[in-house]
Amino acid sequence: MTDLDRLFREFNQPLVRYLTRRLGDRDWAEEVAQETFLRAARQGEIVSERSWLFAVATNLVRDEAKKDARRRRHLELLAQEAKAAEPVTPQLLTIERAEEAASARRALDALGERDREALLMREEGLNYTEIAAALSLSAGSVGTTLARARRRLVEAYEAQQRALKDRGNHAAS
Amino acid sequence: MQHLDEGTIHAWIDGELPPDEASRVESHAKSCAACGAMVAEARGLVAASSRIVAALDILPQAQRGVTPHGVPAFGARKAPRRWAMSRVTTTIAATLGLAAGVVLFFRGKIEEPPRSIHTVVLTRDTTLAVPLAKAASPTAPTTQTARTTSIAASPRPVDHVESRKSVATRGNQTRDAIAAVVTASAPASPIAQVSPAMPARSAAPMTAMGVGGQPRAPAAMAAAGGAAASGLAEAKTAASRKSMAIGASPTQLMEVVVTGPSGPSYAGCYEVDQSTDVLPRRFALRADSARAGVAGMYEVRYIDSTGAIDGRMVDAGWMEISGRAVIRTARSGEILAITRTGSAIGAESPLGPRTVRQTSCRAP
Repeated sequence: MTDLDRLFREFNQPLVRYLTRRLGDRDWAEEVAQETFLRAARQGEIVSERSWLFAVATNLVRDEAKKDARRRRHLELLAQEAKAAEPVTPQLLTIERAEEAASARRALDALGERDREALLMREEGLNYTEIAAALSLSAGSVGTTLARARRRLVEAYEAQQRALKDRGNHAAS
Repeated sequence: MQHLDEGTIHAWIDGELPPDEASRVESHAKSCAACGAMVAEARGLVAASSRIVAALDILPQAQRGVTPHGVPAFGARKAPRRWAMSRVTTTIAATLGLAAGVVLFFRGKIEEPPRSIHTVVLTRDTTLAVPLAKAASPTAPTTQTARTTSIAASPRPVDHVESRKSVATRGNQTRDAIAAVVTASAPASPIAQVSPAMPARSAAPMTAMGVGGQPRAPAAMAAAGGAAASGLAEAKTAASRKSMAIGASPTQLMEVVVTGPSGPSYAGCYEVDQSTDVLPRRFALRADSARAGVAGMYEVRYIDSTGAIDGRMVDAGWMEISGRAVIRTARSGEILAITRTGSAIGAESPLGPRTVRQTSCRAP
């Protein structure tokens, strides 16, 4: 088994999950993950594989996000137009599940980029040293970063839930 | 010692402090009420944020493993087709079951209910989990009986499970049961409507065995304390939860009666390679605390950075089902299943396989 095979088998799943959570798009996440593994193959020896992979993937997302922001906005507009023209189809997700996911996404988007990435990396099992290496932080500040990220995430999520509830009450009355 | 800062507390909870510093933090947290409260709050934040992040995995079908060309993407899971029932079939089966229950009830043939904690009615299209009879009669943990009606048989062997052919429940709970079945089988309910593609988790092998999946019905949601993670408030109040809906495979129509937890053979301390929903990486499965946890299940406890068994995870519990230790939460259903074959330990979460090892720990 080559190093690339091993890296892929070992880290593809957590990396794709991290990227999917980060981007909200599985296909895009898989593309970025593949690009990350290709870069790893070109890189040669890597000391801390997991933190290296997550760091490169994170940087690719940042770069690509900048490049694609304009194109994506345009595509979103096109998609919205197309959706408006479509006949009404049954909901794929239950209302509350969809709302839950949307609230989680908005809450995550409310975080600063570094907080968001640290939190998602931690959820994938990276330890503080690996997170620090991937995000160019000092190891001592990872705890503070995660504490802030978790608090803000929960507060933002709860604010979303309250707003939804208020809207529901308002609509009911 | 100076009060603990939030970053240190989170590092300690995450097991990232060196042992000497961890023991200092621990002793201070025990002696200082203010810092102890901060630790408790931080635990809530850790659990709540994990849940919120896990909610990001709810993606539309097109983004969850099916490419635009219809080819399953890498890692996409296929729902078992073998047991698939059409919506019409499911509705007919539920209606027949309801009719049978009504007939039996009015003919006075229904026997007294067994001691049960949950009766749930599950249908494929609605992925419902309707707890019909909750905590009807507390039983000793040694009473290990579980019965399941499974028109679509479970793909794995099921211990403590016995098939039945009616969705009607028994005795004093019959009226409630019928009402709940009517609610559960009503296809027009927008809340109850679920796409076949919805359960990324339910479609996973581990959840397609009769106890997995997501509770969907209003009653189940109420029992589970709502679908969403409720963060800080939940962290502070989750201990008040009294029941937990048993989730459903999307392909099953069944009745489940669980009368008590079983299987202390899995009791011990474990370490998982990565987080899985709300479960921390290190946790303890206790078997000396039956019924203190969720819905009569055994307790799941935290392990602190020094290896001591710590507080109870208020919304999680575990029990042994089909030779596996199944850890569940009220909101997410089954979050991890541990299987032991000889000395080998395997584990699977709805998010994928996990590497679990048994670890040493000490009593609190």
